Parts: sequence; structure tokens; C-alpha cells
Amino acid sequence: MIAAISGITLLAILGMPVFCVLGLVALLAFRGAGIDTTAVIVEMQRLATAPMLIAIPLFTLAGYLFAEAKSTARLVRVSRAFLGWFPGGLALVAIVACGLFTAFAGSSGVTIIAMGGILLPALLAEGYSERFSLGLVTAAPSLGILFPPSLPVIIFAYVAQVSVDQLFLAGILPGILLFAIVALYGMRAARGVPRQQFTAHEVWSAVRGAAWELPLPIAVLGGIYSGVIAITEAAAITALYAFIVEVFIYRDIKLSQLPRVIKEAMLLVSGILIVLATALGLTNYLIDAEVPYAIFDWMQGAIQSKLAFLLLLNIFLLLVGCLLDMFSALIVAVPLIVPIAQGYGVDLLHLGIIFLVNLEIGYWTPPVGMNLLIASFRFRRSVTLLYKVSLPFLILLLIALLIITYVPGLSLVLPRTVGTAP
Amino acid sequence: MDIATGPHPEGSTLAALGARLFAQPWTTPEVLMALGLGAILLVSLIHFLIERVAVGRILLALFRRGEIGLLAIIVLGMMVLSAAQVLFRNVAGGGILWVDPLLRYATLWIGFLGAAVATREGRHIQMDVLGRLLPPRLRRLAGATTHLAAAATCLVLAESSYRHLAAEYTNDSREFLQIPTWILLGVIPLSLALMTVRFTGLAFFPPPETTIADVAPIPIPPAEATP
Repeated sequence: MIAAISGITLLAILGMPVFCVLGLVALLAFRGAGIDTTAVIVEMQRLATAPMLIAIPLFTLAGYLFAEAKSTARLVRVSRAFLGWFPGGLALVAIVACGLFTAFAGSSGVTIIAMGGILLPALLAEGYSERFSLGLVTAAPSLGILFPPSLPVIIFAYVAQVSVDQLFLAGILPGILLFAIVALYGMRAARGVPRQQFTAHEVWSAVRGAAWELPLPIAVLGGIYSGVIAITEAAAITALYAFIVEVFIYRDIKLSQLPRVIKEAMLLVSGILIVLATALGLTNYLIDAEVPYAIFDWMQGAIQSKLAFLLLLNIFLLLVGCLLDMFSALIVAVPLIVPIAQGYGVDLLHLGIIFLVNLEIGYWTPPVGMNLLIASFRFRRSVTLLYKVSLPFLILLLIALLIITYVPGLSLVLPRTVGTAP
Repeated sequence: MDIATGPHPEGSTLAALGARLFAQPWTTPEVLMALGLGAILLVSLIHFLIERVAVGRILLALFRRGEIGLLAIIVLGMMVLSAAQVLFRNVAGGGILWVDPLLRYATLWIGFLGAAVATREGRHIQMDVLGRLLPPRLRRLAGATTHLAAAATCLVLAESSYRHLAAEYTNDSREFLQIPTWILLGVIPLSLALMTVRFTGLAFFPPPETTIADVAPIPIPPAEATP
């Protein structure tokens, strides 16, 4: 037993694909319990029983179409026309544009690549320091993670079985907190940077340039927050609309490029789905074996208070976030931690926000944060420089994380007042 | 469940054959695993040899294009059908009954087909904390070991899924539009078998080292300032 566990752990950290690790553990667990291994396959089949999962390929397709098209430049231009005259205007532009883009693209790594090339030269040209600019374009993409139609939120809602609409509502205030903290820092960093003029003419021509794309985020955010459209319906509309606009109206994506864009999008999707498929069997087995309850009983001896549990959860998730990508971390850890968190009386919506912010910060925690590596490659700077420049942002977001963790009201007030009772 | 009275006599023969095979004293899981691994090795060797021949290379390239083409057709079909469904639901007052399950199975197909493509490109989600720190020779050894373990896992999963589908076939279970369940789930054993072959191939003929450049989802346009 111990030999098997250590062997599999070794294989996992040596780089065996996560879905194979989970599949192997599930096979061994089911065989050990005397259950036929076809049970693992029966659990995999459950991918085809969840209506919400349809949203994943559709939103990802839309996100990759936007990333490949010149929509990034149009988005930056529009936000610049509106926000550029503020002190720290371009920093605000970067924060808002990257945040919005991440919400649609589903992962902040895509945003670093799609947006960074436009924003970094612009920031440097306006006179922001290189340290600040590099840190900002690495950190800002993470800020949009809580807003619709963010993929990780959908996945948490599916795995933890909470209402996705409620979870999006819960994310509004914490999301604004993240934005505000980084925006204040950006304004401070912008001292000495000349401010831009606000001209109605530029606003008009920027809006006209992006006239086909602007209605979409307004419709999707408004539709989901107000509960008028379901998440799968929003996904369907977004995908078709993005396809028509980028391929046939703006013609930024040629038909010959389409297979590659679709392939890249579907590799991200299948990477998530195959881990989900193999994890479903394993987590169900562990829950049937009452493993989370055993951990809860054991933990209660050492940790009595909810606050101490949350602090431990923060540290645990930061570590997990360093090791695993967000999607597999959500898929594997959420079903096991949900019963424990409920034991300590943590609201699941609050737990979701803690999970998402925590894991997103893990993306750029040294030494192996994926976003640091992507930024290092994208901006041709050394990883060690990126450790340094992202450190102030890391500290700011950790402070925000602590506030989000210890002030549950921030997450819970909106779903409790605006939303229908769960 | 009585196998012999199933509506597919040939299917029940197959299942009975399987049942008899698995009842033999020498067919322990370990022996079957070894036999299966041998078979996979043979297929991988044939795959390798095919790649040496021009015609073989063309066939393989066609196969790979077919995979990606199928993925594209499925997701574009999903896009059109799901948008049409929204329209029907809100304008015509009700959606088409079979579209929703079809979309759900399409998601399953994307998951498994895409996983096979990801295997070929070595782009599965994985932890690579230790792998990056090892010296090159140890790293190659670690790569071969993890890929073989992955191949073995996929092999057992493929075998399990085949048995599951065979049971669905003999039960003659059907989903929407009377489509047999085993056809809708057919992608699971196919993709797992393909991944077994591909993981074996990666273990013995590792591709050149991938860098973050290959993993990055979008090629870099030249840096440009905003207007």
C-alpha cells in the first residue's frame, strides 16, 4: 500500500500526465475494494450527463477566436479612450482590458500572450518603469478570474454542485477588491507619467472600431448577472457570435487558420475534460469510503476554529497552485475539501471564491508558477527578473486574499440579497 | 441478465467468448497485462516501421488530419446546434428534444478525441517540478518510465471500457433517437487504445525536448504599440 502510494507519487512529480495518475489510482482503488474496473468507465461516462459542461468547449472556442483576432488591440483602444485620462490611466487600461479578456479566454496564460505584446510596449512608451510594467502585464490577467463567463468558476460550480449564477454573484465584490487594490498601486506607480487628454472624438472612433465586439461582454455579463440567460445559452450565443464576427465580419481569422485555432482551443478543453473524467471515479470512490469525513475527524482534534481551518486552507491551496494547474487542482481538491469545509461551517460560495483566488495566485508564485514562465517566454526576460517584478503584486494580492478569506460577507452579501435563496 | 437471449447473437457470442477467456486459470490480470503490453509493443513497432515508408507517412498524416478535422466538425456543429437550440427555446417555445443529449455526448467526444491528440503532441496537463531539475540522462529515463506507466494505465482503462461497451451492446441499450449507447461511447475505448500506442511510442522514441515555446497556445506577433 505504502509502496504503491509512494511509487505513484514519484511518477506524478516526474511528469506522468495527471489524468493517468488519477486513472491508475482509481483502477487500484476499485480493484482493492473488489469492484470491477468497468466502474471507472461508468464514472467517465458521466461527462455526458452534465448539461453545464457543454459551456466549456463553446466558451473556450470563443476565447481563442478573440485571442487570435485583433480584438485585443480594439479592446485596449476602447478602454484607453474611456480610462486613459485618469491618473495612472494606462495602468487602469491594462487592468480592465486584461481582466475582461481573461474572463472570456478562460485562462490568464492566454491573456498574457494575447495582450502583453500590445500593452507592454505602450506602458514603456508612456514612461512607466520597466519593473512596474512587466509586473503589471504578468499580474493583471489574473484579476478577471471571478467574472463571467470565467471557466474556472463554471468548473468549481460543477464540481462542488453549487449554483453557477450565485457563484458569479458572489465573485463581484471580491473581484472588484482585487481590481481596486492593483489599480491603487498602479496610480501610485504612475506619478510623473504625463496624463492623456480625454477626447470625445477618440471615444467615438474607438467604439465604432469595436462596434461588433462591444455588445457581447455587455450582453453576457448583464445576462448572467441578471439571470436572464443560462450559462449554457450564453456559451452558445458567445461562440457563434465570436465566430461570425471574427471570421466573416472583421475577417481577422482566415478560414485556413481555423483548424489550428480550433485545435489549440480543443486541446485546452480536452485537457480539462479528460482529467475530470478520470477524477470523477476516484473522488466518488473516496467519498463513498468516507475519506473526507475521516480527515475532518482527524483535523478537528488539532484545529477547532473556522479561521484556523481557513488559514490552513490558504496555505494548502497556494502549495497546490504551485504544483498543479488550476483546472486539475479544482477537479481533484474540491470534492474532497467541500465536506471538510462544511464541517467547519464554511459557506460553499465563500469557499469557491477562496479556492479560485488562491489557485490563481498560485499561477505566479515562484518558483514554478506557470504564468511567470509564460511571461518570461513572451517578453523575453529571465524568470528571475519576473520573480522580482511580480513580487509587489503578489504581496498585494495575498493581502486581498486574506481580506476575502476572513470577511465572508464580501462574498456572501450579494448572492444573499440579490439572488434567489439557494 | 441472460447473455444468450440478447438481441445481438454475435455480440453475445463475443461476450461469452470473453467470459470464457477470463474464466481460464492462467488469465490473471497480470498475464493479460503482459500479453496486452506485448501486443501494444508490436503495434508500436509496426507504427514505427510504417513511419519509415513514404506511403506510411502519408497515411499517418492523413489520419492525424482526420482527427483534427473530426474535432473541428464536432465543435463547429455544437456551436451551430446549441445556438439554434437557444433560438428554438426562446422563439418557437421549445427546444428539440434530441439536441441536448447530442451536445452532451459531443462534449464527451471532444474530451476523449482531444486527449488522443494531446498525447501525440505531448501536451497533457502534468506536474513537471522534478522533471525540469533532473540532468538530461535521468530526465530521459524518467520520461520513458512515466510514459510506460501512462501506457499501461490507458491499456487497462481501454480493456475495461471495451468490456463495458460489450455489455451495453448485448443489453442493446439505446439513447436519444434510438442510437445505440455503445456507438455514442465508442470514442472511449478507441481514444484510450490510441493513447496506449502513442504513450508507448513516446516512451521508446521520445520527441525532441519541448520548451515553453511549444506549449504556449498562441504564436507571438511582433510587439507593436497601440495607435
